[in-house]
Amino acid sequence: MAKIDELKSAFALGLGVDAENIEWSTLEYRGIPEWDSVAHMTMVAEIEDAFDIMLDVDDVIGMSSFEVAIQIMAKYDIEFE
Amino acid sequence: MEFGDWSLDLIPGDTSSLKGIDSTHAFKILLSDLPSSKLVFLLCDSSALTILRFFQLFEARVPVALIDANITPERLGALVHSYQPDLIIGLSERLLPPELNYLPTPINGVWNVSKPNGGEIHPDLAVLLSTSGSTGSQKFVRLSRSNILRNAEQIAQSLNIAAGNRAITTLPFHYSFGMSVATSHAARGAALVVTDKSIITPDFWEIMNSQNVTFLVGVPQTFTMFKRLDFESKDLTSLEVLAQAGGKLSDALITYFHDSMIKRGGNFHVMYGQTEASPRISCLPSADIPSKLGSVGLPVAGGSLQVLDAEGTELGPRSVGEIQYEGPNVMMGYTESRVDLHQGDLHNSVLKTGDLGYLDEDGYLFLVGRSKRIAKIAGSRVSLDEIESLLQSIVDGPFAAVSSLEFDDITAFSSEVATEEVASIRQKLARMLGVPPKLINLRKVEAIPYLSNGKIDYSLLEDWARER
Repeated sequence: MAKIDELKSAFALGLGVDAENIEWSTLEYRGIPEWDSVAHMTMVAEIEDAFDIMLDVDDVIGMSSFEVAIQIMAKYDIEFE
Repeated sequence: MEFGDWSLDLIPGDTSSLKGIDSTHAFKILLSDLPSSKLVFLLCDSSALTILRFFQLFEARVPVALIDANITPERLGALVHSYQPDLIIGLSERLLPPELNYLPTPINGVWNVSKPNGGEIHPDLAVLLSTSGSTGSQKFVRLSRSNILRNAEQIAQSLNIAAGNRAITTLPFHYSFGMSVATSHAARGAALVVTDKSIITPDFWEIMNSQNVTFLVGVPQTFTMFKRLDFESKDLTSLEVLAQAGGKLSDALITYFHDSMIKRGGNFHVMYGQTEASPRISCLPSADIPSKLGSVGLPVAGGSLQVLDAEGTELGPRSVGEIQYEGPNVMMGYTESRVDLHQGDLHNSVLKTGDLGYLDEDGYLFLVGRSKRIAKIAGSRVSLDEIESLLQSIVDGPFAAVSSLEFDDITAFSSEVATEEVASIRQKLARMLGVPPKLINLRKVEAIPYLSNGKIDYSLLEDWARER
């Protein structure tokens, strides 16, 4: 699976949504009803599991959208083409 | 703001929280124009206006049902049909189906019924609260004016709330625990910082400090998040009291938060209650945490606890049975429709909680589980039997659902579900219940175990669910 699809998969699993139904470029916290604070924590855990990393607290709180997530992952040496 | 003997300083944590704060005088006139036996639906969001309207209604002795503003139009329609409220506050365009017979008033979001029901409402009735947000029932708990006043006082006493206290909104107002933060602080003339910012945003923690918040509460999942957000190292210089209710927090987390608060020179309280008790039943003094770890404490002032066996006989210390609470904060009873609202107090201050537990020799309460087929996950109450029905509506076949107190989740068992369907069924059910999919486990088994009397062996299933 391409890395970006792994990230999408982690998001989808955590938020309890279908990856196919998501508009990734605009996806943000509270942008869809499913992305509430509880789903956020689940999603963070899924991302950590998928990429075998432990996110810094500031990054947990800062992960406010899919686009921002991509930028944050770069700090953990995870790049997406 | 003053409301009779109570006063509450509502402080905006951010600009959005004060939207609509206005028209107090106009609202009072509107209330006085309504028929004398009136019921109000208050659709609650995270604004100060929700809280203000609640206290205005309480002061005016107008009974109010607290309802989540995020409700679906269908559910609201059903509730309106059953209860025929005279006034609906917080109604938005989204929620207003054409067949509702309500007309707008000069006050934004406030709608008046065109043909009042006029059904007699008991004069003691003050607040209606829902017990199970997500499973679509029409049932409310009926709380009297006295229930609310007494419990606010009981909570203020247990937690040593004083006029200088500054709490913050972290729980929905339509939830009994959320409401009780406001009422207990109003009872002491203290302050409440209002914000819609979630604890997972930096803004929330910013407000905690800039507004000198002294008092913070949550349910178990709030505390799991706090830990993940490194609560221990947060510089919260004003924080004095941390309190938890709404489910069982693990011993490890209780210890973590207790230690964290002791380091700050403050207190951490574990509490227990039910909407049916307005809601506070017991509180554990912070000083008792190392010695009574795992306990939910002693009954609030004016209340008492008993543990009963299946026949209703009171048991001695360390014997597990159903927890019964007696006190002035026990509800009047339930209601399913407007007609029930004329009823008085059917409980006489006695509440069978449906929870299992025991009292130790010093009278401290320890919870063991639920005796009914009701689970509490992510702070919401869900009926396990109803979960089985919901699963059957998604996919044919028998399901057996149990809950786990330690893991705060649900495990459903099925002998017929296909492995590839499991993930999608979990997601569908999670969405129906409004809980995170992670809290729903679905396991395929050879066969669902039955007892010799033909009933499902839930006890065995609970053991299986515990195996991780």
